[in-house]
Amino acid sequence: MNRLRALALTAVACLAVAACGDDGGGSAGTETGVSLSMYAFSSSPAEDQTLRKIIDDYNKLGRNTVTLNILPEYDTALTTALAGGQPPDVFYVNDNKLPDLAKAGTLEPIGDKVDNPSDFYESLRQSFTYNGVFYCPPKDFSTLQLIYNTDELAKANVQPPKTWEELSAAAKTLTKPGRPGLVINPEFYRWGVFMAQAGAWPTNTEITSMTMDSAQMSQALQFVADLHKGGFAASPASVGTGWGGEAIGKGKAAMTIEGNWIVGAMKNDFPTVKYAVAELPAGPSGKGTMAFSVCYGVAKASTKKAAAIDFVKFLVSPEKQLEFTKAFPVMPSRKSLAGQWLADKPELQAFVAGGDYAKKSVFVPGFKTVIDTLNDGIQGLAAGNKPVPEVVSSTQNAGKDVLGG
Amino acid sequence: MVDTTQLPGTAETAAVPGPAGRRRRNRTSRIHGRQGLAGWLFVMPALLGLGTFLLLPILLALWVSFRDWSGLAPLDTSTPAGLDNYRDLLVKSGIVQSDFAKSLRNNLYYVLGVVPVQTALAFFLAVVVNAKLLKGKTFFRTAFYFPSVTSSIAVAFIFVFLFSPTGVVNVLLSALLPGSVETVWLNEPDGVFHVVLGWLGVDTPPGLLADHRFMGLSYWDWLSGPSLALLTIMALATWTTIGTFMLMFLAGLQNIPEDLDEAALIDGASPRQRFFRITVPLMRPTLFLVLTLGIIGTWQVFDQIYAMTSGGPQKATLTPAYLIYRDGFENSAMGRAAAIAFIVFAIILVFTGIQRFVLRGRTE
Amino acid sequence: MTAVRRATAYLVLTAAALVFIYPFVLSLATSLKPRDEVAAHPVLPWPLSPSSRAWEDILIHSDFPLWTLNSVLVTVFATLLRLFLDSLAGYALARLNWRGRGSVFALVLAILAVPPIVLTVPRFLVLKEMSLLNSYAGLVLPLAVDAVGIFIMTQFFQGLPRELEEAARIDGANIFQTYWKVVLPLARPGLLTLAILSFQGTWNEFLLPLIVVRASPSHWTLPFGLSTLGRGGAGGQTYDYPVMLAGSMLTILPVAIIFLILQRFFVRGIAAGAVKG
Repeated sequence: MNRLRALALTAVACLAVAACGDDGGGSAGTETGVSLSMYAFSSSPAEDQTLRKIIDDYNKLGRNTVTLNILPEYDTALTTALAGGQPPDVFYVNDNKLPDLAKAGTLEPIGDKVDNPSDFYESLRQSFTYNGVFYCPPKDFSTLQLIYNTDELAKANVQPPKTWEELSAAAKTLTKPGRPGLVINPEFYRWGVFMAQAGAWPTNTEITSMTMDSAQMSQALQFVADLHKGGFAASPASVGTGWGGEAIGKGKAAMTIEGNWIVGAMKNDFPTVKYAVAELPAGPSGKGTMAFSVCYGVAKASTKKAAAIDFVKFLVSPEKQLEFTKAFPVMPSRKSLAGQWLADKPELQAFVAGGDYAKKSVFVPGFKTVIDTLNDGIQGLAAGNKPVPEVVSSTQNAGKDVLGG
Repeated sequence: MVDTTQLPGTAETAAVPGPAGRRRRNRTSRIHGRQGLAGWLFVMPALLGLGTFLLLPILLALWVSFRDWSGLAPLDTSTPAGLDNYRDLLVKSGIVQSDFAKSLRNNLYYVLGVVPVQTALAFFLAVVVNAKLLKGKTFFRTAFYFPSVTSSIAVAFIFVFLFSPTGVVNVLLSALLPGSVETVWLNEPDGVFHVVLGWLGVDTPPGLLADHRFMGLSYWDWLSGPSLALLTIMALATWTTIGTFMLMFLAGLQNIPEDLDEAALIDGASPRQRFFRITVPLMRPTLFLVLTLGIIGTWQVFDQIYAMTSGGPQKATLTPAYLIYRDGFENSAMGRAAAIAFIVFAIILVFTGIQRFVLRGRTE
Repeated sequence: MTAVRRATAYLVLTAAALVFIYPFVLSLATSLKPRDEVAAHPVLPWPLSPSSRAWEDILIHSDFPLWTLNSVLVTVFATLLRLFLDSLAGYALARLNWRGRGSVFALVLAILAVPPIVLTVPRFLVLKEMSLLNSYAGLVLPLAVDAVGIFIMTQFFQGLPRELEEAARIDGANIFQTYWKVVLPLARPGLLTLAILSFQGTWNEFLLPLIVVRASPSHWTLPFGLSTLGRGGAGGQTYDYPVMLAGSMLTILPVAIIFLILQRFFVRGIAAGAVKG
């Protein structure tokens, strides 16, 4: 440990003297000629290529040079780098990892240092805020909406449902032997949309206490559980598929609840299936969905923070955001770009609309154990071998362990 | 008559070398000393390698298990935690303890199911492909070794389809059993013992088993048996490891001098006698190797869980090694992950000890 | 054995063998199928409309040649080192008499008993302190000795007849000469097993490159490089199976070849011949 401390002290000394490494100049704010390292995970080969091109564009500007590393096993790779004191200067941060990283003091707060930060969707800003600090600007996002097979619905003369009652009826009508009307993955990151639509949520807004035991939560869970019990809804695994997209693609479901990523999968694996995206039905409390996002984090331990911030500003600038998301189903995180993004893909309007009322699905450090317990319970509800009160109490108790309240 | 006391392996019944050398009274102390020096010289490079690249990290991990560390920042940000990690896992009631208990239960069934089957099958196949009269040895040896070579991605891909509702396994079972079988194997969380008892009409646990708990799980839950999902993974793992152990048994079989078998044949011993009186005893060192590696490997099963189920459905395939990954790299609880590792370490030592004791007892 | 019984036995064995090979055949077929065909007909062991796209993606559009070169370098060196060092140590533990022998053997077993996944970060810290990151040395040296190999060789040396060694010692050979000239040739089956398993283990090593060279793509080995292809999508739902399986076949191939070559040397009766003569 002495050696680690010595290394840290040396690093600090170097910063002060500004005499080590490849740092040119040394005054804060306008570092140039710096070489930065960036870690990212792969979204798809096409997206990786676009990312590389955007980074090439930045390097050509001549201010700084960025080396990109697209890594497999991202969690393991990033954790190892951070734990070993060799963090990359810039790296992708998944929204559900933000609280843990922020609490461990790994991130430099740069959210408000980019241009026009109020242009980001509010729920995304909330996702990347911890203890009131906006840590990193979101790069893009996806929301969950209702995906349905247009031929199947037309055949059964069913309109895309707009309320819970219509959803029940549609699922019932569309169910055939061996083919449930709705397939939805049994996990919080899907069933949560029903919680949002009922005005329920596992915790309160400040995430200081568990609210699993609210009447609305039981209502939401019971609603979905009943659909499963009646055979009108099922998990992808129970129809022999891995996820909702595969279920729709293989004709094992007429409707599913998935996010933007389904577009790429359908094009590649099931190009002949005709589908459409509609906003999820509204529940007792109105419309609700969940958003998933990734941000560009800057390591607090980085010795080239000014350069890193300059690079991130470039990445989240409107031009580059649009360039990055143009060809892909992920949506720009800037509200002002929604119209331009939709221009050549009007059929994905529902996903964009979700950005306005999506609930952030991020909690506090160490909360994953609670989510795992909730998922365990949801799987039980889908399989029909657990009653709602048991799921509520086991999750509530697990949450109390973590939140301490 | 073959004097089996002169045979290699019978003097040393356990793998830990005993002081057999010292019993030879003719040895001079000069040769003793030379062996001592040579022994250390031979083993030194390996010790250096193991010490630096394995022992040192292990000691570091042990230290981490007594710290509270998220793993997302350097070690000097960690704080002392004393026995807290171990306490949370073993003693303090809560979700950490019950998850750990489930993983232990699952892994125990896994070990008890896989080790005997993979050892027996590997031995059987080794004897078969070693048979003098077998034509096409190369083809069979390579074929049976292939699963061990195949990457876990490919194996996972294939097994998911083999065990899907309309996959080969269900098709075969439907042909053999009345009615049609459409089980979604990897999605079945209930333990087989519970399932069978359910068929016999026993749906609720007797009070005795349901009311008493150990480490957060009721006795009834402990006695659930492996789930169908876990059984599927056990089948997959056995199938993948048979080849490697077959190879080790094959090498062990090749050590057996041919003339021994011939002498026994001349003496009138039947194939069965030759097998059990000559082959099996001489395979003891190899058997110890395969059983030990089997116990160690099964208590550390991770790759298949990671690739196929992530511990589901409903934590029915959760194992301690997967928990280590989840806590260390997903839950930012690196200290607790390290504690899990050393509890598993202790369990493996106990199992290996039991195994050696049983094997040693057999030969006296 | 009657002809009928023999025929049945061969039939059963061949059927079993085909079952064991089937996944390999299916992998090959899937790597040649277009993606929508994989989704539609996953278990068919041949492609209906073959496409070389996956193979092109790997062989032409990726750094495959570089990764293979790195893998060959690392694997050959690591395997040779293991063959030499593991057998030396195994012999010492099995046959030589020295103080501390029992403890060292117990240490070897104890090292095996720690689940490797937990050592990811500690190993990184150790290798970082030794300045072995982003280098070939960092990929080879940690693999040069392994506890399993030592364990295997200890057990095999224990199974050898002692007569020859004792004869050699009486003839005046020193310990190393006895080991090199007399014992090692006898230990051929054990050494072959060690060679095959070492080659396979070091070739398929994934965690070590992740720890040591993830930031240095010019050092990437084949399994690590291949794992960067074929995945994607939020939550990894959209696997590019043809690419992943083509990649896995490329990883299997060298190990299969080494096995094919070496297994021919598993010839029975070496030990016997030596004792007789």
